[in-house]
Parts: sequence; C-alpha cells; structure tokens
Amino acid sequence: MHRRFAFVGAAAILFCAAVVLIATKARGAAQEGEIFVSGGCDRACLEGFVDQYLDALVAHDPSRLPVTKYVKFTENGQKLELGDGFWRTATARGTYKFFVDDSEAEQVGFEGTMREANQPVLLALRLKIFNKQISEIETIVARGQLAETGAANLEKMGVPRKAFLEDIPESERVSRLQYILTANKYFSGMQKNDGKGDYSFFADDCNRLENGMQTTNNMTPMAGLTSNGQPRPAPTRKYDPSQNPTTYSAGWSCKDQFQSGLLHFVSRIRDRRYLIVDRQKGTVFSFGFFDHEAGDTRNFDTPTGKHVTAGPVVPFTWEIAEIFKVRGGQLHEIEAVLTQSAYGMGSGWSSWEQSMSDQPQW
Amino acid sequence: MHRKFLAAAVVFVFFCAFAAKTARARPSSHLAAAAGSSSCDRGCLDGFVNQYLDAVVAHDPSRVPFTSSVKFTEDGQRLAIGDGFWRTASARGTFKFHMEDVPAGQVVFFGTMREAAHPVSLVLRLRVEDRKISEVETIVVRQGMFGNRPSETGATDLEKLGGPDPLFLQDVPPGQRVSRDELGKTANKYFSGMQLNDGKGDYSFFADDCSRVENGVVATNGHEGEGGQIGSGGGKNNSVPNRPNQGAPNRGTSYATLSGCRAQFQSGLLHFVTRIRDRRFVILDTERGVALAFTFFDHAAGKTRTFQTPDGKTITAGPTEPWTWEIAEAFKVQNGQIHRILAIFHRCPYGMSSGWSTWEESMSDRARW
Repeated sequence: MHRRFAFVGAAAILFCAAVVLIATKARGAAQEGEIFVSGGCDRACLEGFVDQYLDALVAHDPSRLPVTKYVKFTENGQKLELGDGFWRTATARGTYKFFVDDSEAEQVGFEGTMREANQPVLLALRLKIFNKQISEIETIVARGQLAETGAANLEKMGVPRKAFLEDIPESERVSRLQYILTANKYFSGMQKNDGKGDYSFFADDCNRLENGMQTTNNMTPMAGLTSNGQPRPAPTRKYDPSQNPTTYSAGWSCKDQFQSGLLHFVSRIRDRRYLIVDRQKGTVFSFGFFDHEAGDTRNFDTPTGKHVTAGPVVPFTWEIAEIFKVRGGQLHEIEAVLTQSAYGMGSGWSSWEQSMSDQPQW
Repeated sequence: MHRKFLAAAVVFVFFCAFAAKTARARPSSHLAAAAGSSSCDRGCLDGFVNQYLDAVVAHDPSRVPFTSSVKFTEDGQRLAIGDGFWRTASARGTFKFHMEDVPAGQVVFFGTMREAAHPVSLVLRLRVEDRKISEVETIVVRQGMFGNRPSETGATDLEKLGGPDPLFLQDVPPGQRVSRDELGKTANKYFSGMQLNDGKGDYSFFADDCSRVENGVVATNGHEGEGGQIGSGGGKNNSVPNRPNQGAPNRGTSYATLSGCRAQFQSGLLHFVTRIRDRRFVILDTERGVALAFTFFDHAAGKTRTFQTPDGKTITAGPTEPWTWEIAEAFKVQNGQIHRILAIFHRCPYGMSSGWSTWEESMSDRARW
C-alpha cells in the first residue's frame, strides 16, 4: 500500500514537473519567436511611438495605440488598467521633450512636461516596443508645486541641454554595459555617501537637474521646504571642508557634493534598472528608489571628522527616473524626474528581492 | 498498464482538487488554526500589541516572538522587520483602541505614537499563531508623507478624543448577536453605498445616531472644514487639489456640509469616490459588534468628477488628479445598523495595493473575510 502510494505520489510529482517544463519551454520558445520577428524600430520609430502615446493620453483614448495583448502599464509604481490614472486627467502636452532612444533594446525613455487638469506636471515614460506594438508602459507623474515650478523651468529652457543631444564620436563609443556601469557609480557613490570614494567619474562640467531645478552649481536659493519642513539653506559657492559644513549645497559641483560626505542619509538606492541605453549619444535612462531610513542613520561623520545629524526624520523614499550623459567614462549631465513614494515601494517591474537590492539590473 | 495510469491520473486529479480547495479555504483554516492553537483571548491579543509597541519604541525586534516566516508591511510595502517605523518610533501616545477577533487570532490597534517626537497615528494588525506573531500590517499616518505637515497626522485630534466612543467597547446583548457573515455584510454596505454614490440606494443600514470620525475629526456634524476629508477638499489634512472649486466647499454641493451619515449618502455628493477596493474585513468581533476593514478609496478624477445628484443638479467635485486613500475603518454594528465609524487613513500612490492581496483582489470591490 505504501509502495503504491509512493508510486502515485512520484507519478504526480513527475507529471507536475513535466507540465512546468513544457510550459517553460513553450514560453521560452515564444520569447525566442518574439525576438525573431521583432526588431527594426529606429530612433524615429521609437519617438513616433512616444508621440502617439502622448496624443492618445491627452485624448483619453487608449484604443488609438497599437498594444500587445498582454501590455502592462504602471503609474508611479502601480499596475493599472490602460486608460486609468493619468489617462483620465491629462489635458495637454507640454513643450519640453527629452527622448532617450535605444533601438537595440527597442525601448524609449522620455522626460517631459504635460498638463493635468490644466496644471503643469512632469512625466517620465518608458515604452518597450515588440513587433511594432507597445508591450510595456512605465510612467512616473510628478505633481504638485515643485513639479509645477520645475515644469516652468524646463519649458523656459526649451530643449534638453546641448551635451545630452550631441553624438559620441564612434571611436569613443563603449559597450552598453560600460555606459551602465559608469552611470551606476553615481548611485553607489551617493548611497551612504561618506566622501571617501573615488569620484573621478564626475566630469568637471557635470550638472544636475532634478524636477527641472538645477541642484548643482546653482547659487539661486531653492524654493520650497526640505523634507523636514525647514526652509532650504542659502547655497554656498564652493565646498570648503575647513568650514565644516553640515548640509550639502546646491551651489556645489557634482563632485564636491559627493566629496563632502553629506549625502550619507540616502541610506539605500535600490531596484536600479538600466533598461535604456543610447550608445550613439552616450545617454543612459534608469529607474531607482532612494530610501532614507531615518532614525540612527541620520547621524554620521564627514571626512573632516565633523559629526552631523541630517536628512529626513521619517522613513522617506523618492521614486526616480534619472538620465545620465556618459562620455569618456565620466558623467557630464544628469537629469531626473522624481516623486515621493511610500517608503520601501517597488516599481511593479521587479521581484521583491530585486526591489530591495542595490545591485544594478539591465 | 492503462488502468494503472488511469488510477494514478484519478488520484492526481483528486490531489489537485484537494490542494485547490485547501488554498481557497485559507481564511477558514486560519480560523480553525487559531481556534486549535488558541487560548489567545482578548487579554492575550492585547498583550501582543503592547509587547510589539514597546519593542518598536525600543527599536528592538528581538523583544517580540515572531514566527520564522513573519511578514511585515508598512503603508502597503513589505519591509524587513526592524525597518521603517521600527527605526523612528520614539514613544507611545495616549489614544488606544484595541479590536480583537479571538477566533481568527487577530487584533487591530488604532492609536497614537511619537515619531522623532512628532505625533503620528498608527494602525496595527497582528495575527497570532501558536503564541507567535506571524503577520504584522501597519499604516503610519505621519508628517512628510505627501506633504503632510506635523499637525496633519490626526494624532493630536485623536488624543483630544481621549479614546474610542464607549459604544465600540460595549458588548452586544447575546440575543442580538449575529454571525460573522452578517456582521461583515452590514459593514460592507457602507463601502458599497459610498462607491459611485448616487443618493438612490437604500441607506437604512445607517442608524439614526450614526456618526463618523476620520483621523480624529468628526466628519458627520455638517461643519465645513472639520472632517469631510474623503476627497472633498473640505478636509483638514492631506489637502486635496480641487482647483476648479478652490476654498471651502459650497453648501449644497459638498456632502461635508450635511449632518448625519445617512444624509451624506442620500445627497449623492460622494459620487467621486469611484472605487472602494481590496475590502479586507480582518476583524469580525461578534460579541461587540465590531467590524474592521483595510481598504483603498480610489478617486479616478477626470470625467468622473462630473455627475448628477438625485435632485437633478450637475455637480463637479472631488480631486482633480488620480487620488487614493489607504484606509483602516472600524464599524460598530448592532441590530443590522451602523452606529459608529472610526477611520484612520492617509494618501498613497493611486491604485496602490496592501501587500496582502493578489492584484486581482486588490483591484476588486468585492468584500473578503
């Protein structure tokens, strides 16, 4: 009786294994098939999909889009039905447009301005194209006063900074992975920043825009409050360790900010997804989350030995889409769209383990 | 050979059917498990809450008996035990309301705490199995979340109340008690009546004495600007963008100006609450007639902001951007009617899930218990 039961049990297990194997193989074959029939969406094709998407969005009409049967859509990390969320509220396209085209991966990234209920908002968008249809849609919509101000700045600027749009000479182009690994140094250098790393990956001309606001080399006092509800301190021109500063300044360069060790309170930069690389232009479009654990992690020492307490007093996460210009193994321009998310939130595109990890994915 | 194969196949099909049934029957099996292991009565469950909160303030998870596979969420996100509020809680507050479900081995706590010395409101659910905590679900209504200012966490108002309405704590006379199912169904009428509210439903499930408190503020006394936070723009915290109708809501076009639970639903003015989803009734205390659900209130915005009230008026109201409240809502139910409602909630990303449901469950407006 026991042997018969064991036989039946073993048969059941084998059957299950066979079903899983067949299903997996079938899926693999389908994916291979997909790769085979896919391809051929160049820069104009990719940007055309973005234009088509944004027009359909403003028309509140997803039926205008060619999408795959299993298209997946997320907004601010949440999986929604296509037609929900910003699809109901977008009222117009803005004038600022920044495309990152990756014809090898058939993905395109976009950061730009839009209107929602006639108010300016910032949009980060990723589309994945398969067989001339959209198969993945990932969005971040940054709303509120800071996004409004940032959108106005970007529209005043008109077009992305020149360096972003320039081609990398063919002889200087590197592999996708090399572009990604250089970009990833930014996140690794900021996470638990201690000022002791090698920050030579920052070019001297590096500049950063976050939600349309210049947050490096900028002596204009920033509007709004810090995450602690305090007024932002007036920027200072140059990082001077002898002054023992206790907060980093938007007036400093990219490298100075990291050398100060004052970004330590960014305790984890996780779910780093580098899905779009434009090798011709040296641009990398990434998604990530900046966790600020707060509590004891707010207390740290700077390289000069100064003990500092800084950063948000509550657990705090930024959901970010960040674009890097990489050339000669260095970061020249950085531009991000970010919005507050629930602390520890996932992107909707990663497993929980990936989502909690600071390892880069591509 | 064929017969053997057939026998094996039949056994396998039965095996699969049994496995599927077992999986579907999870809530009941939890009840059975809790009852079997049980003997964690009200005092025992409340004791776990106290132990947990003391450990949180001490930032020391080792003080709590957790199962090896314990799951912890804060504001809908799965975190490692010791992360999130565990790092920042600085003291316990004075508002305390324990709701126990002894057969399910679960307890929910509404209360106030201090985080970096600022008052915050906390919702805590614990599941206790074999004298260990196996599930921890929390909502922390804190400053800094989506622009909340320190005064906007509801904690100060809850502490002014002193404690829950005494009616919540009174036993229902044994002859008037109803089944868990009946209790859940009555409470769920609140969510069903609010979702796409049109003023045309049967709202007799509201008792005449029904009142609702939201984040420490009475929301059913008809006073503009005190409560009425469910996306009206008339609320005190988590200020909702409602640009075309800036300022205090107008009498006649905002439910918040109406007195009484039933009158607000009869007005049809809550229509902009487009979906109340992922309704998880985790406490069904038949002795006290207390039901508690975790859920999400979606406001889809866009065209859904424009609707007609039962008297034929066309109204445009509600948030101008997609908006979701993450909410825990407690109901006192007696004689088939809702007498008291107490909710703690805050804003979350539109369409967010609890971390305790599948995506399909999370998007569904079907109640579960």
